[in-house]
Amino acid sequence: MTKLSDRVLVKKAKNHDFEAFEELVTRYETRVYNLAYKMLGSQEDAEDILQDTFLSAFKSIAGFKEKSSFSTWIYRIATNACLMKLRTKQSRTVSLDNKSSIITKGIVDWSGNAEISLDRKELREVINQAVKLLPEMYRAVFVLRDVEGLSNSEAAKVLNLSVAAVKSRLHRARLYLREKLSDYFSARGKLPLLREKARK
Amino acid sequence: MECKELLLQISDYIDGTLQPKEHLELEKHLATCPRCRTFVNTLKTTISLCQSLYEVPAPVHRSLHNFLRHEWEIHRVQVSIGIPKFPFVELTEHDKQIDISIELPGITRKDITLRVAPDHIEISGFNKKPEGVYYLNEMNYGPFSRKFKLPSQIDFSRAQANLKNGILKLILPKI
Repeated sequence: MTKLSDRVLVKKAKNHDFEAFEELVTRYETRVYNLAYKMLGSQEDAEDILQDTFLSAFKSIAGFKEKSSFSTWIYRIATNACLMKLRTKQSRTVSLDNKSSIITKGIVDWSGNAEISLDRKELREVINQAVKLLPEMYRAVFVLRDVEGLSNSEAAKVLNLSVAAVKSRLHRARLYLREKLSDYFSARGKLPLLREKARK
Repeated sequence: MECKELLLQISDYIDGTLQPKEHLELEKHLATCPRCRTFVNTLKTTISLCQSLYEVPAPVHRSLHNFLRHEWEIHRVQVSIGIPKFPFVELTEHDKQIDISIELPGITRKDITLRVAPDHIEISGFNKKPEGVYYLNEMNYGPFSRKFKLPSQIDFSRAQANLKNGILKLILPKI
């Protein structure tokens, strides 16, 4: 089963083959879970999105025209579910539309610190909080590109944006997050850093 | 190149999507500007730190798969009853004929194909979904077919078919 392509599995799933559908779920559940976790910042919400995404996928797989890959299709379902949930929450975000909002203050090179020794849990929380402050479309672009590793054109297809729009949002989101991490590392200053093995 | 210009191109530089000429200019600038080098390093590190992946917790994985299996079963039962997949059939055998009734609600005559052989019969067709934006969408559409063996040999030259009120009735005289 694991050697079959997504396309073949989709065909089988359309033919009411649950095992084939389940293999697709297994292939994509980690990606959907991470997307939702980073988009919504909570494990509970990520679990809801995970369930809703695959339920919606099998209910509509018969109508999936396969103009895009299964991967793009499932990312689109999951991203839309995340955006819907975000809209109901209306949390506070920063504005990145204006270029002046991305300032580049105090350039301290902390890249070595982060690589060598890292309090992963605390840092992860700092990253999650910073990502949560990104406006939703910036967040979606950033998560699809830099967390999930999609290309610009794949992210553009998922979000129905132009490649140029994806690139400019990604650029601003990255600069904003770098700024936030700079604040974190300079605030930590010379405090002893804990070493914790990163989970793979 | 000035630091300001570098800032605009830095994302493309990191992704390796800059034009060769621009790439070269940017690297030239980086070689002479420690501040921008630091900026590039910290931006690269920011991206790599955000990449850490969460595993789906084992209980979440299990309950997801159980939930989907359960929903799949319910869905399968829903689509397998009535139109479209397998219409229900009633068959009675009499001394001189076989009577068959097939439930085909909402189907018109032109949507039905009947294939016959002396000892079996196949009914198939397609129930087209009307265009529209659905508020509720619970009806079944798509292809349907039934094929079954007949209990006796039939003389199809005298067979009769009649579609009325969503029931296709076939009267099939025996040979």
